Formats: sequence, structure tokens, C-alpha cells
Amino acid sequence: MTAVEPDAAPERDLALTVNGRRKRVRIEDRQLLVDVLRDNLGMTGTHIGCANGDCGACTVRMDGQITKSCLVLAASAEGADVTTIEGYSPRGTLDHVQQAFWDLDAFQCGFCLPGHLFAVRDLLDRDPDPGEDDIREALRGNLCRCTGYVNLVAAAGEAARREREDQSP
Amino acid sequence: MIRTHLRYHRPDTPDDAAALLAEHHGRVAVLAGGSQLLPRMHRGEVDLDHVVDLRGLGLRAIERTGGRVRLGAMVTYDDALASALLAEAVPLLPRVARGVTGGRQLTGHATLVGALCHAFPGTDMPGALSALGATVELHGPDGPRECPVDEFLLGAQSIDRRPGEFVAAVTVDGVARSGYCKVKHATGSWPIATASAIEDGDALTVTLGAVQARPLRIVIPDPTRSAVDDAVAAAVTAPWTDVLAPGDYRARIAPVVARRALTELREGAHA
Amino acid sequence: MTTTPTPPHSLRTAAEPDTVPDPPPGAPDLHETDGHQPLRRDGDLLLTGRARFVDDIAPRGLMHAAILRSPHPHALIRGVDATRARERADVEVVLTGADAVDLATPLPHFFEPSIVGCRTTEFRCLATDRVRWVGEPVAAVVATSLAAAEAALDDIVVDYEPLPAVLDADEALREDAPVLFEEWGDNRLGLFPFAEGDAAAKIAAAPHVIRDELRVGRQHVAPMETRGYVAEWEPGGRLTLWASTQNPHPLRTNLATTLGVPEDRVRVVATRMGGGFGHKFNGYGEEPLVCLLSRLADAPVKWIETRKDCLLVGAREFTHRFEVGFDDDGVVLGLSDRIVGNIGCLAPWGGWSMTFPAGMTFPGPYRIADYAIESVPVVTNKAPWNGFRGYGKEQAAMALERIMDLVAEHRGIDPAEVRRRNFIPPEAFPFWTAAKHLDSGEYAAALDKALALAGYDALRERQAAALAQGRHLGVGIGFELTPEGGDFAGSFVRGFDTSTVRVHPSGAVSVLTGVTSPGTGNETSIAHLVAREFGIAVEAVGVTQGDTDSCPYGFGNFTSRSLATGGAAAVLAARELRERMADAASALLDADAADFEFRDGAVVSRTAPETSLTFAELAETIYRRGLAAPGLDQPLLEVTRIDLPHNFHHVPDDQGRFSAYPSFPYSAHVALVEVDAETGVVEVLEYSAIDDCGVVISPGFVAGQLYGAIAQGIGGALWEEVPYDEDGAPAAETFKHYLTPRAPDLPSFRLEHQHTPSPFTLLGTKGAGESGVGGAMAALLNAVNDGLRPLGVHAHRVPLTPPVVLDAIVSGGAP
Ligand SMILES: Cc1cc2nc3c(=O)[nH]c(=O)nc-3n(C[C@H](O)[C@H](O)[C@H](O)COP(=O)(O)OP(=O)(O)OC[C@H]3O[C@@H](n4cnc5c(N)ncnc54)[C@H](O)[C@@H]3O)c2cc1C
Repeated sequence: MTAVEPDAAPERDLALTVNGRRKRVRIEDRQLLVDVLRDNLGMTGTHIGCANGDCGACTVRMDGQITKSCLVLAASAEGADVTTIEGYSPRGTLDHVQQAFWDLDAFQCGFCLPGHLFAVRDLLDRDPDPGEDDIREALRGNLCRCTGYVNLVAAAGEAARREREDQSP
Repeated sequence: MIRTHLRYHRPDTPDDAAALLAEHHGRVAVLAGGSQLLPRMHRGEVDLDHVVDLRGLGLRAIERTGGRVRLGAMVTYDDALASALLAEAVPLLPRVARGVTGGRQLTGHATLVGALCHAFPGTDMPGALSALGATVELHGPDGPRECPVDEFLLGAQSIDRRPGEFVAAVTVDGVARSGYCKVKHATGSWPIATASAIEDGDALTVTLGAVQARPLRIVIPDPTRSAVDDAVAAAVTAPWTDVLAPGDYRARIAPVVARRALTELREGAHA
Repeated sequence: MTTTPTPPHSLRTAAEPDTVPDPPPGAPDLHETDGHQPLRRDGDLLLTGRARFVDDIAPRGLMHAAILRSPHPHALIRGVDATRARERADVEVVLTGADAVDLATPLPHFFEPSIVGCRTTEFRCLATDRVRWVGEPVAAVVATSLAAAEAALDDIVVDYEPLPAVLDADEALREDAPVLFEEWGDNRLGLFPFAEGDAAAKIAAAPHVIRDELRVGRQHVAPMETRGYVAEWEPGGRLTLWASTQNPHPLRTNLATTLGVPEDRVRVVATRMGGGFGHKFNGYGEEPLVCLLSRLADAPVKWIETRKDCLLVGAREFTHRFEVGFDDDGVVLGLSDRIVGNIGCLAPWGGWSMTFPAGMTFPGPYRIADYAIESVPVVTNKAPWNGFRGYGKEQAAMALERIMDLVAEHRGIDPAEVRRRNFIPPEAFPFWTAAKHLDSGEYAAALDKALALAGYDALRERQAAALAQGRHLGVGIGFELTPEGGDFAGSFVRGFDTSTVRVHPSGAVSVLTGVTSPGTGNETSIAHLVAREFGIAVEAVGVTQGDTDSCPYGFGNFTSRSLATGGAAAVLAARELRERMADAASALLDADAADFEFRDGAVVSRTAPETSLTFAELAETIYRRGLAAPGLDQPLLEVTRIDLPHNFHHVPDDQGRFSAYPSFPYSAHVALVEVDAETGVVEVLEYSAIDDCGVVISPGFVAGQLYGAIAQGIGGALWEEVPYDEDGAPAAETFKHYLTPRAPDLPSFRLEHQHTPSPFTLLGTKGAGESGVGGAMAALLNAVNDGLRPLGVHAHRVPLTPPVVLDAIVSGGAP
């Protein structure tokens, strides 16, 4: 009996900008964006928590829009400009959101951080002075099992305050 | 992991899309926002060899056509929320979009038409589009075809889509006055029951979503409490059961969501 | 006893008031540091996506495993045909249960049931002749890609002969029920009785008696990171397993046993953990399985649990049938509760043992002389349990607190007052019950503070005003006693742990500890404690956890023990080193060793502050001149210690009382909800809690633990459940069905602390971490029922989902 030779999975070259750098990678058509980021590009800060769009741990920013990368077929992202948590702030720095998360103990295990960081950033870019309800609504696409969201919500408010303070002359 | 040897297609014209869909019929799916399709493929619940991405076709416009409003297949929840035209002419759609969970990581690319085509009973869009008397515009190998949404939705996760067809747009009535109510367990849960209340001249209707396998449009002759309750109770004959709620629960709350949607119609949204 | 608020906004700047209690003898002086909590270690790595979790480990040549699982709840395996899977070009290994029998011994239990008098049996890493739950592993495939491995599962044909299955615990106890393990004769795993006095007689003689039932559905941990393992079995015989596990050392021991490898040739690395909460206790068949697959594939192999598989693991499905007798004043005279736990199938995983604390925790914070509690673990054809934060203690909290409210309702007394009348008073400590030696407690004070924090009287007024408008607000109290730090001799669930402290010539300090962190911050706190002992900057202290090659043997992370044990051991080791270094300083500087203090990075004479050496100079000198200079006769700057045993009573006393848990934190909770009486939907409006876990090392981290526990408790009380369908399969496969709380579902919690030190622990600490789950579940259960009171109904089925609540309302289930 001869071994069954499966015909190869269709592949393609994909051009992407990831964290400001041009990348060209060989991918299979069936790969999700999250898998390409993690497996092909070694960007393992983007996490897979549910592969169903529910938890938000795979969040990236894609062409300016925050996106769950487990819900994107990589092949459809040709030419996209992707920012992952590794490129969320310039290397070696923390932005106000990250620093407030740290200062206010907004995370414990940290697995869910991509979703929470990007969602708060996205909120503050639209609304520099959000109320508690706005913050909670902005986080609704994410799950956290450690913090009960208390410090997360406080940290988002604190980050907004620090950014407003920076802006005011 | 997607286990099949999937091939990704991104046609540039509706005819190419239809041709691809026809050629691979049975082993192909339309890819819109991907938020339902990709996880199901990932879990091995659907096995396909091809996906046809509609992104190359445009189809993201929201525009007036005569007295109606036309939404392209790739219009997302965020597009609906941002549309001045919808806010004025069909406020029900942004109202519904506002209550969709998943966060802006989802609503920026999940489409209204994708939700309609998924046709899962426990969701918002089928009921809302049915309430708006939507017409589904399909495009297939033989060209365009139109289908009223109530005929398009055949049952739970079953739609009237013929080989090679995809939905290019939906067209809805302009309905300036509407009310919406949704009951669900918690933020993350599927909707358990929805009601869209519409006032069109003298006619008052409530369309229930998520209560049965298909949306249920009920004419409300008299908006008093007992009349609404009676009309709804009479209409709900085969309530939907799923993991989150048994049919008898849905039947019980159906009159409540109907009344609340009517209240919102009368008094305006509080949220 | 004092109260300190949790700093709500800035943890770094909030000054802890000067009200921290005098620490018990031997505890470090914490006054200076409380409130000036260091930032969580490696926070910057996590915040920039550079921390590595198990799925981020990818050795060169990595292959991927997929597991074929049983689709039947109960069936015989008549044969497994893997021929077609083996023929696939991209498949490297196919392993069936039959193949694995010769390669691995039966799996050691996380907690061997026979130690506590239960029945037991043997399990393999893959089922051989019979499956007993949907999801039970039957075969495994290794392929070059995960997609290929998963695809190959379809090519394995298993010939099953379905058997009758039983899913309900009450049905499983019936005589005609299908039996899971035939050698047992029935489905009872064991029986845990906890009793004092004569409950039956007291209840019979009591002026008032209530009998009722409380049911809790099957729940699940849902950590954000699922489990996973990466094994690399080198040709030379050395095996490395990177594992998302809470117990790296016991896991290594078990692998050595199961796989027949000398223990020192196995290395387990517990990777950074994306949440544990009991889900990552060891005992899973996949642990040795992935190792075997690596050996057979001759390549590193990774297996990561899917979310659907993660949701298989159960917990908390209990039924309580209780009876309480009480007097006119609401004082409880006698109490009985027969608790049945539907533990699913038995497995080597430890979760079934939650049925022990479920009974042992009774009668909680209450002084009830006569009680009879029975907890019965029953096996069914659902997937097994593993641990879940709360560990059964939440069951006692729910039942007891519900009982207090029922008594209050019956007597027309305020529920807070009924609790005050039944609490163990502060002067009664230490206090014995059948299976607990309670350390200390100011229960009524904690409750009163919680009521004040919640504005209890104002809540009652709001409730009355709302009711006048037809709205149903409910106020619920939950008081939780949380036995922590359990020690079960004979198992690897031990109450002590080990730490090594090493001072390097440069003055850098390493702590290597047997406890692990699932994100609780204990590594930060341990570094902090050791830095304080040496008077050096916390940055100079490195903490290594989870790597069995470098850390001393330890038991890992469970029952909120990590800081109390590993931290205390590190403090003891640091103190011993400090003495050695002071002796050396005394020889070098010709001053009295007792005169030296360690502060600001230096070793300084108290009487002559100019007589000093920097910490680094002293360390380096000891290395360079030890044994060669007079007085420098102990140059070993490394000490390994275990923490001291405290408040364990393993040998029953003359009245048969014993205590496997040494510390008893508690918390008082008040919740405000609104029940939508037309739909059954419950909204959580406000939440307040007081926590008392003794002396607190890092108040911010303790608060964080509490917040998380409360959220898990609220989720468990209101939304979280894995129902099974008629075919015996779990019906919740995603987070759209298993509804853990999201940010909009919860209010901000108000939290303050009370500190009643334990007289028994080195640091005066009590465990912190599990406390809060049961209090929250109880508070919500009571709040919803309080909201339903005007409707004359009770809802005693948790979670209180809208269908459950509406059912109670519609069916008019009379109180
Ligand atoms: C986290 C999360 C939260 C959610 N919350 C809600 C909620 O609160 N309420 C709610 O109602 N829903 C909710 N949903 C469901 C959501 O609305 C749908 O997933 C989404 O709108 C589907 O659109 P899509 O573009 O992503 O569809 P896709 O996944 O691309 O497609 C869905 C299905 O429709 C087919 N299809 C798509 N477009 C066409 C077309 N033009 N012609 C023919 N067939 C087509 C696809 O082949 C597929 O079978 C949620 C989903 C997620 C992931």
C-alpha cells in the first residue's frame, strides 16, 4: 500500500507592514492572521484565547481599525498595515495607557492585555474624557478572568487623565 | 486550525464572484467579515475548499434608492452607526448595531448581511431586517435576483441562496419611527429575544427576533397591554430552544419585549 | 484589628494608614512598606507582548499533536483502526490507547482518593477498553502541522459499543443506575461526614424548622489561557516539558513514575501562566502523553488545549438538602446538610476532592454546637472535575448564608442581625469545630463594616421606594469563611514549601522557590520580603519559579498558600544568611555582630554608623576571603529553608477533631441587584466587601485577588453554566454560551480591609486568593431572593439565569 500523498495546501506570498516594517511572508491560504503573526513572524504577544472572536486576546490594529486577528484570514490582509502589541508603543517605551495599567495593577496574568490595551487606546483616541460606563462599554469585546475589571476601568480613566494633563499647556 | 486545503479567492467583479461560487458549489463559502465563518472552519464544523471574499467588489455603500435605503453586503455595524442617512431614515439599524457585543474589534468588520446570511435564530439582524421589510438582492450566474427577506430566511441557519449566488445588498424601507428591545442573559450572550416595533402610517407592527427559528411579524391592532400580550401569545407557536434558553422562556418573555419595543417607539430610546 | 481602605486609584502613592496591627513575634516589620507596593514584576514584558506563555515556546523542528476524543458518554471500545491515519504523508505518529499501555504506567492521582478513605481506580493517558465521558482521550496524532494532525483524526476509526449513561447524580445513586466502575458496585466515590453534637435531636426539638434544597449547576474555570504542553525528549534520554501547570515538581515526579525515567533526567518548566484557578493542577493524561509523543516522533511536540476542550473540565455541581432548627430569636440550634457532588467521571485530576471542603467548611463562621454534614462525591458520565477557585468552600458559604436569610425571613428579623446572633464571638478563638481549628476572627465587626460601606440602611430605603414603583431591588449579604493552605499528608497537596536564597559576590540576590505564580503577584511580594530582610533594593532580588532544574522541590500553587509558605521560607532563609553575613561583618570590622543592621544597601553598625560595608562589598569579601581570614568561617551564602509548620492538627484529638487547614481568612459582602420580574434578568447595581486575611504583605495585590474572586463569584451566581444535552455531551462550547462576566456586567466593587492577624503564621498572614468567590455567590443568591420576596417566591437554583429566575416567579414556588 502506498502512502496517501495529500495535495499541498494552496500557498501565496503575503506583503504586510507589521509594526512599521515591511514584511513578505509565505503563507498558506488557510492561515488566520493571528497564526501568521505568531508562527510566521514570531510576534507571540498576540494571544489566542478562544479562536472565536469572544475574548479579544488576539487584538491588533489593522489599517487603523482594531481587529480580532483570529477573525481575519491572512490572505485577505494583503497590503495591510498591522500593529501588534509589540509595536503598540515605540520599543523601550510605555504609553500612558500601558503605564497606567502597570501603576494601577490593571492586569494579573496579562494574557488578555492585547485586547484591553488596544480597546482603551481606541476609546481614548475617540473620547479623551470617558466616563466609567463608556470605559466599560469599550471593553465589552474583551474578557478578563483575573481582575474583575475594577483596576482596568480605573487605569483607563487614569490614562485618560494623564493624557489630558499632557495636552493642556 | 482550518484543516482543509483552503483556497482564497478575491474576485473583482460580481460576475467573477458568481462564477467562482458556481464552479465550486458545495465546497465554497462567501467570505464577508469572517466572524462566523472562520471560527466555524477553525473548529472543523464546516469543511470547505474555497472561500470567495467580497472585499474586491466594493459593496460597502449605504445609499438612497427611491423611497428606500440600500446597504451593500459589506456594510459593517460600525458603518451603520456612522451613517447620517441611516440615523435619519432608518434609525432602527444603528439602534440595533449599538447593542451588538464583540467590541469595536468586531463591529468594524462584521457585516449586517453576513449576520443575515448566517441566519442563526438567536441574533439581532434577521428580526430587524424583517421588520424593515427588507428585500435581499442576490447576484448569481444568471444575474441579479430579488427576494423578500421573509422568503430568503428559510429556517434556522438556512437561506434561499441558489448555486453561485451571493447577496450583493439589502434594501429596506425608510422607517423614521421605530423602537427596539433586546433581552439577553449577560453582555456576552446571544440575544434571547428581540422586538422591533415599527409605525408605518396607522399600522403598528412588532417583529420578534430570536423567539422562533424565523422572525415573526405581528400586526398590533391595539397597543394596550392585554391586546399586545394576546396578539403575541397567539403568534408564538414554535419557540426556539438553544443552550441558553428553552422555548418556554422565550414564549414567556416575547410579549414583554414586544411591549418594551412599543414603549420605546412611543417614548424614544433611553439608552 | 484595624480597617484600611484599598487605595482605589494610585497604588503607589496611596499611603497605608499607620493602623497596621502589631505583627506577631517573628514577623517582619511591615509598617514602612505597606501601601508602597512595588509594581508587578515583568509588567513591562507583559504590556509590550514580550512575555512568553507556553504556546510561545517553539523549539526547532516542532511538531504538533491533536487528540481524538470520545463522542460517547459511555461506551466500550471494541477496536481502533488507525491505518488510514498512519498512511498520511504528513503524519509522524499515531498512538492509540492499546499502544500506550506498554509505554506508560497508570497515572498517579493528583490526590489519591484512598488517602481519605474513598474508592479509587486506575487511569491511563489514553482510554483502552472503555470511555466514560464525552471528550475522553482515545488516540493521538503527531504531524508536521496542527492542521494536518487535526485532519488526520478523521482517519482514525473507533468501533464503539455504546453503553447506558447516567448524567444526573441523584439518578446515579439509584440502584438500577448504570455503574461507571463495576468493581465499586455503585457510583459513590466516598462519603465525608462532619458532625458535632446531636443535630437530629436538636432539630426535632427546635421551635422552628426549615427544610429546603439548593442546587448549583456545573461550572468551569475558564482561564484566558487554556492548558498546553511542549515536550522535548532528547535522544540522550533527557526530557523537558514546558507546561502551563500549577505544580511543576509534582508533575515531574509523576512523569518520572509514569514514563520510567529517573526523576533527575526530567525537567519541567512551568511557563508564565495565563490564569490557573485550579484548571492547571497536574494529573491530566496529556502530560505524559505529549512526552511520549515527543519520544515517538523524535522531535519536540506541542499540544495546546482548544477552548472547547478546556470547557470540558467541570466543577461545582452540587445539591444541598438542608434542615435547620432555630429559636424565636433566630439562633440556630441544629443544622444538617446532605451535599451531593456530581463530580463527573473520576480521573487522576484532583477536582473531585472539592467535595471535602464543601462539607468541612461547615458551620463556617457560626457557632452551631449541633450539626451533621455529609458530603457525597458521586461519579457520572460527565467529564471529570478539576480544581476551581473556591474549591468547594463556596458551597458552604452559599448554603449557610442562604440558611441565615431563610431564618431571618421566617422570624422577621433583619438578616444582618441573625448573623450577629450566630457568629463565633472574637473571644472564643482559637475555636475548634469537627475539622477546623480556627485561628482568629472578628466576624461581626467585618460584617458591620461591610454594611456601613454599602450604606445598608440607605439601600433598604431605596429598595422600599423602588418597590412602591413596582421595581424589585434586592439586597444580599454573603459572609464567607475560607479555610486556606490545606495540608494533606500522603499527597502532594502540602501545607509547607521551600525556598532557597543565594547571595552572589556582586551583592545580587536570587530567590529560588518551590511555589509558582499564576499571576497573583507572589513573585513580586517574595522579592519585596527578601529585599527588606537584606535592606537592599527590590530590583536587586531576582525570583525564579517553576523550573525544576533550578528551584528546590516544591508543591506549586494552590489554596492561596504561595506567599504564606514560599514567602515565609524565603524570609527564614534570608534571615539565616543575614546572620552569617553579620558574623562576617563582625569579624571584618571588629564590632559586635548583633550591632549590625542591614539598610540602604549596606551593613551598618547601629552604634557607630561610620563602621559599615556595602552589602556587595561584604558579599564579595566573604567569597574571596572565606575560610582564609580569621572569623570568616562560613562562606556559604546560600540557604534553603522550608517554612515552619503552623496550626496543623493531623492527629485527631480525644474528641476526634482534626484540622488540615491552618488559616481561616474571611470576608463580608453586600450586593444590590435589580430583578426584572418580567424577564428574570438580574442586574448587579452595587457591591461592597470587607476582607480580612490577617497581615497583608501587598495590599494592592490582595485587593486585586479579591476583585477577581468576586467577579468569578458573581459570574457563578448569575450566568456561568455548562449544561449537558440529552446525548450526554456538554452544550457550552464557546464564551457565547459559557458566560463569564464582561466589564459592562459588573459595577466597580467597593473594598476595604480588616486585619486580624493569625497568631500561628510566621508573618501573621492568612491565605489570600480564594476568598471572595463564595461570599459573592452567597451575596448574589441572597440578593436575588431578597428581590423576589415581595413576589412570595424563592429561587434556589444557581446560576440564577433569567430562565431560572422567571421559572421561580411563574411557578410561584412558595417559600
Ligand atoms: C464576539 C462576537 C459578538 C457578537 N455579538 C452579536 C450580537 O450581540 N448580536 C448579534 O446578533 N450577533 C452578534 N454576533 C454575530 C455577528 O453579528 C456576526 O458574526 C457577523 O455580523 C457576521 O458577519 P460577517 O461579515 O463576519 O460574516 P461571515 O462570517 O463572513 O459570514 C457569515 C455567513 O454568511 C455567509 N455570507 C456572508 N456574507 C454573505 C453574502 N454577501 N452572501 C451570501 N452569503 C454570505 C458566509 O458564507 C457565512 O456562512 C457576534 C459575533 C461575535 C464574533
